[in-house]
Amino acid sequence: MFLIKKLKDAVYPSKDYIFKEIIVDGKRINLIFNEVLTDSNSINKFILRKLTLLQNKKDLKDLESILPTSNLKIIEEKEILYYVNKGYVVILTDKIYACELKASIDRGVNTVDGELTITGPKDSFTENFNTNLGLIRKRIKTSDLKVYDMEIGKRSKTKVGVLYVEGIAKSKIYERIIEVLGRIDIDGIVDSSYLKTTLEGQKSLFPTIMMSERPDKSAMALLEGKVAILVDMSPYALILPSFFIDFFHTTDDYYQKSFNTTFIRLIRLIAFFIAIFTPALYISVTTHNYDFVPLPLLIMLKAGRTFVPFPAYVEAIFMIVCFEILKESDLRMSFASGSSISILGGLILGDAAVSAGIVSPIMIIVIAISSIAGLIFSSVELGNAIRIYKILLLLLGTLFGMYGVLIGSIYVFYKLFTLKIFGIPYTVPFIPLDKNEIKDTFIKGEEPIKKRNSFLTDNINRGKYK
Amino acid sequence: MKKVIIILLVLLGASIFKVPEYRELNDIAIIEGVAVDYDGYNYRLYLREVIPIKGEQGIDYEYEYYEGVSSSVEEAYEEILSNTKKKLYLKRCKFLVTNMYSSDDIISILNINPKTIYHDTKKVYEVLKNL
Repeated sequence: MFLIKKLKDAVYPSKDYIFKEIIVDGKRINLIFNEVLTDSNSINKFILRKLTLLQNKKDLKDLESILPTSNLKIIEEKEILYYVNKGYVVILTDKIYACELKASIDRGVNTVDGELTITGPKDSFTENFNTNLGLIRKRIKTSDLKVYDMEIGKRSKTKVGVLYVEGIAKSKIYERIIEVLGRIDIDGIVDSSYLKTTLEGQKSLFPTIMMSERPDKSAMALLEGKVAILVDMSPYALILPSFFIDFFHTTDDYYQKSFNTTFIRLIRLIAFFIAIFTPALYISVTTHNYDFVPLPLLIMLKAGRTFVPFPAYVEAIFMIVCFEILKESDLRMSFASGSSISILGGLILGDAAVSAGIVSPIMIIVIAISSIAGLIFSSVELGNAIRIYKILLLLLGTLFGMYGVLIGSIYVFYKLFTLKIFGIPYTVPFIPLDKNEIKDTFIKGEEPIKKRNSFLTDNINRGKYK
Repeated sequence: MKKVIIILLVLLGASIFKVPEYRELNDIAIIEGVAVDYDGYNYRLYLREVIPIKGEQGIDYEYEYYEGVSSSVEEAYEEILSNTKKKLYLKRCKFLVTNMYSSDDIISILNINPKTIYHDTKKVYEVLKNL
């Protein structure tokens, strides 16, 4: 009774903790569970019904064989609330039993929201750890797929799983990840993104960890020798180490013919440069380096700016800010409202701004093409990096013209080439060159023999198609 | 914080030393034609600026003429410069009209590369206007 009182005091004033008492043949049994985390039907069916049918208190000694549930374990007194908070029903008799009867409070497997593809699987991760693990295990049906379970967060007790394929992934990579995660000492994490800052190591705007909601992408990465991290209550897996080239690849690329993949990857590369450089180049050629554009184009640009009262860089920054506001409001709104905002912002406001002479039509084209090109990447982090470098180059272009853009470009490439993730250069397979992986970069060759990145694994050969 | 201070110092330095070279398109005069009339004593320099205006049917063009008179082409050019706030952009000059026998000096002084050179003994200004 003292234990029950102590537990009631510990959970006071929360009303969702249920303390139930049953008498079997004069012997008192206490049940403790959390009603929102457990499934009440299962409790009634598998525990209460069975216990109330018991005639003799001697039967209680053999509770493991009486209760028809697979996950029943004997626990210690200090673990009672820990298991209750995990969705277990704790049964107090002479021993303390914990019986897993979790309520299904996740949304089930849904279709992909962010990383859309034309072909290929449509299922996506959910907030349930086991479901997510199951979605990967369904794709890699081998016991070599290892899951190192951890619990992070003193209060949140969030389940974290480090996944790797033994025999493919390099042990020094996953051991390092486990070591880094083991050092985290925080009260709670509620999403996988919380772990990113700890794991990223070297500070850079370019992302070195990929977040994916696609189980097929995660499975592909695991087979390449990468490590995936699943976090309970997060619909995103962290895939690491991720290199620069990985953000130009989509799962769709592997479901299409190689020349189509090559074409679309080159488009992505062009889009990357357009997104970063277009506003800066436009400002440079219209304010410093007029010689770079042909005369008819220069005259046309001047005609567009005749009645614009603001300097070109103010106009550019104004447009970038407007676009970001539109994007942000579009993201936070429901689908129906989002469409209205796009129409209102993109068409009506844009047209009105040009008619009123606040911005020039060419500036709208420049900022729009740059911003749309930045949206081609599903990685939010890469989009953010592009945005920051775009503004940096824009300022340098305003101050120094083409020289500024050149200096800024050198800085961007310097940051790119000096970045490392777990000791591996970010720009592999280009610098340093990896012959195995180079055929699957921007240009995808037809390879009957599949090989892995030698920086990620010692087990190079994947096999062959033919 | 250190990086932010360095960036701010660079921007400050740039704004002091380099930004004066920043010119909006509206502040430059695109010169498409040059005329030099030499009367034996003075050089009369004419520059024709093309001003594109966005019209109903596309782009319409207006022209503005600058005039400077002096005993040398350099001084005539300096006179034009002193009378306008715009930066004269002569690099894309398409034609040169002059009554002088040789136009090489004009080309080198004004640093232009005209595609067409008209040698005319008539009033060069009239020729420039009609081109």
